[in-house]
Amino acid sequence: MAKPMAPKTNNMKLNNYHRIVAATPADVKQEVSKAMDILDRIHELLQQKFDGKQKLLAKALNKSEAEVSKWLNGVQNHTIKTLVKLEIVFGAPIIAVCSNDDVNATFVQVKQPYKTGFAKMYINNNGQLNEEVTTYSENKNITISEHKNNNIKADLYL
Amino acid sequence: MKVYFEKITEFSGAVVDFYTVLLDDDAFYEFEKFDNTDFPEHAKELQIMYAVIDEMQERGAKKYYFKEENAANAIPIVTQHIINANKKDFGIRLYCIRLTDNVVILLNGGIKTKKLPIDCPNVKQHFKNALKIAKQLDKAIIAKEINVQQKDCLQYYEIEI
Repeated sequence: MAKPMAPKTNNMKLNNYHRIVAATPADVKQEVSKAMDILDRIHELLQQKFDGKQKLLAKALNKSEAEVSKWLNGVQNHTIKTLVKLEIVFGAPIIAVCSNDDVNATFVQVKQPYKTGFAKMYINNNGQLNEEVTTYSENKNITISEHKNNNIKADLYL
Repeated sequence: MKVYFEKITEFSGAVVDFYTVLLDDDAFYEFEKFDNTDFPEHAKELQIMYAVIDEMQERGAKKYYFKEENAANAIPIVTQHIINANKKDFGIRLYCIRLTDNVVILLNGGIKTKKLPIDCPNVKQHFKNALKIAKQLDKAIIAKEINVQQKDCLQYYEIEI
């Protein structure tokens, strides 16, 4: 690894990026944003209810881990059917819906603010670099010595 | 091959630093080459991809936003309705390396025509480059040559792959 150098060119031109972003319809942007909200919420609940373990969620859903993995990774269209199945095993809502019954109702997205995660970078027993993400509150009392079998390289507040 | 890192100022902000690389003495950065390529049959995928990058600027580059392909990552994970819309191929892959929620290196990509990237003439080289760069970066992190907690941790760095 070399030490930092001086800038080489610094004249990067991303012409298509600006053109494409300007031409992207509002509904596509909104669809991506909502899909990412849902994905964030699913992972928040996975952490809270199943210790972040996909395998435990798959067992609770009586599904294969591969099938559940598809629901947990990537920006995608989750069906209501899938979301309901997840809400049942999590025992908590993933999405909230407004109602006309209460004219003062406000839509509150059920999600934590960004940057509340906590990641540990560590080298596992096979010498590979790994990352383990938990919530900040769960890590307040964790010390490096408690993380047995792994050599922790860095703790990252996100 | 020399790999020189530089931050993409358009994308980088308070939460995430997006980098790209210059290979040897190329005239263009890897992500710049990707951006300059037209994919007329995959317009919606590109819109989604750039919208995801925009969203990540505030949310952080969460691991589950990416598709893992060995040590490399790719965005976006192609959803079924997009696959159905492009039956001839497996959609666009933009290869990248996600180091943490705060550091992402965007490389090059293309339209994947085979199930395995290594079998696809369009993306094979980009995928292999991503793996080689990821491997060297892992070594550098383990050797404490890069501090991924530090802002601008890769700015103007150069490695050999």
